[in-house]
Amino acid sequence: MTRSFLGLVALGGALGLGLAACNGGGTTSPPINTGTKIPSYVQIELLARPAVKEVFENFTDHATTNAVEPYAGSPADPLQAEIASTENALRPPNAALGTNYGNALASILYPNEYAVDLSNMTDKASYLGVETGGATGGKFGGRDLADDVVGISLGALFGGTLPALGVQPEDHEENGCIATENLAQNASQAKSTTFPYLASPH
Amino acid sequence: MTIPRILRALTLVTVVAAGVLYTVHPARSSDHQDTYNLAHRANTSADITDVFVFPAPGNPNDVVFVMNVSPLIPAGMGTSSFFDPSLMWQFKIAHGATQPEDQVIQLGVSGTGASQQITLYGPARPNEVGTTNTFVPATGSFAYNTPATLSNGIKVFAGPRADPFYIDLFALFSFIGDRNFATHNSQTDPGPETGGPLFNGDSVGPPGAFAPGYDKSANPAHPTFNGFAAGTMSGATSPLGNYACSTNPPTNTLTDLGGGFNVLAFVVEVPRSMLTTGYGSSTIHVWATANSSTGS
Repeated sequence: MTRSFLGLVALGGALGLGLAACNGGGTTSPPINTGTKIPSYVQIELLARPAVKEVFENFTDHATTNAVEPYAGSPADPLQAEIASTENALRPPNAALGTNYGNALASILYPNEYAVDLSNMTDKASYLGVETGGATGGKFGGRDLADDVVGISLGALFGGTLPALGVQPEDHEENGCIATENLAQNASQAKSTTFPYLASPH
Repeated sequence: MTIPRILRALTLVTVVAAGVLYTVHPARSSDHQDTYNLAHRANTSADITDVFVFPAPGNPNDVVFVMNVSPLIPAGMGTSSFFDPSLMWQFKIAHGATQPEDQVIQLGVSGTGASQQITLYGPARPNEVGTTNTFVPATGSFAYNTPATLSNGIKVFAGPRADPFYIDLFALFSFIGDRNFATHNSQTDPGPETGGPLFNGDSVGPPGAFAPGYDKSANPAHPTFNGFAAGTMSGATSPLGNYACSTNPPTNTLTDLGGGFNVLAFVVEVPRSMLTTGYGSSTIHVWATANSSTGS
């Protein structure tokens, strides 16, 4: 579909309410599609950890990272090195204290994959939950629909998360003005208890 | 959430507000995404905005995988947005070690418009690992925007939902302007990267029209998010100095503009046993990809 402003606005205005009413349809058991798709498909987009590419990686490198495996490492994938260099530019290492937050974050956030512990199904999902032993809210890991991933990330980059977890010595370089964004999820975005769990469209 | 994608929606709001809707070229002038190729695709469903993995609410025997695509669908337009049939979307899973994938859950689409059919493939061992892939055997098909349960107990959904991501994007752009797509002329244009990490992007492109004035200071020496209590300081030993944090109100960019924004969501609820039987570890690593049959 070509996204046309004209088409979107016209359809959205005229049909939005009526079509939205179809969302409440019950579950069905559709027939099996036995068709086989033969072509090969080439990766053009990759995503796991939220806000990692966006915060750490230069815009010009996004296309490279999108087309490689999340574990490819340098030099095929510039992401891991840029996690370290960007963090260290804003929060310089201190040799006397033995701190290097950039290298520490690069080792935690790369490979760019979620860790999920399926033996903790009754615990909460929480971004970086496996890596932090549940310190971000639960040991299942993965990511919940309500997770404050920006807040978690800012706390690690500019706040006291890493020393609090014992990952790095305290460097006293926290910046309180950018260690949190003071924002909560809007009620219209809130997770539902029924499948498919995401809130109805705006 | 890929931050530059928000710019497309901001562009929409700008256009509507300006009353020049019918003069705007579709797609290419509005699809501001995080890479040059993605920005120039006619259908935006190759753009993955967020990935979620969590236990099914009320059912600890199931695991829910969510992949959101097609960022920033304006309010009221969700059900007029559809998937690109030339794509393959995948949840890739590695058991124990972080590489390579040893299980995949794949989705493909046939048809156009509201009559689209979505087919789930797997979970199964991949035909091949790496960045070029083919579909594993199909599990079942289901209709666009209609929750379904397949014969093997997997629950599936593919259609528009509210975007659950939240961020004060204007505040972020106020000190990491490089991530503002509008500050680049192409994928290889370094833009403000040459200016260092602290470079304001809210005065460039659509954010220039919507960012509050307090988020528009160029090359800020004192970066800050908003919403702090009066008297809050950055910290006496901050590398950037000790200065006052902003007391201005924060903005949830995904809900506070234009009535909020939507995505197209793939939701797959899988019995845990399908993820563990035959594998040696209950710890998995998960990532999502969009693959194209055309390679671009």
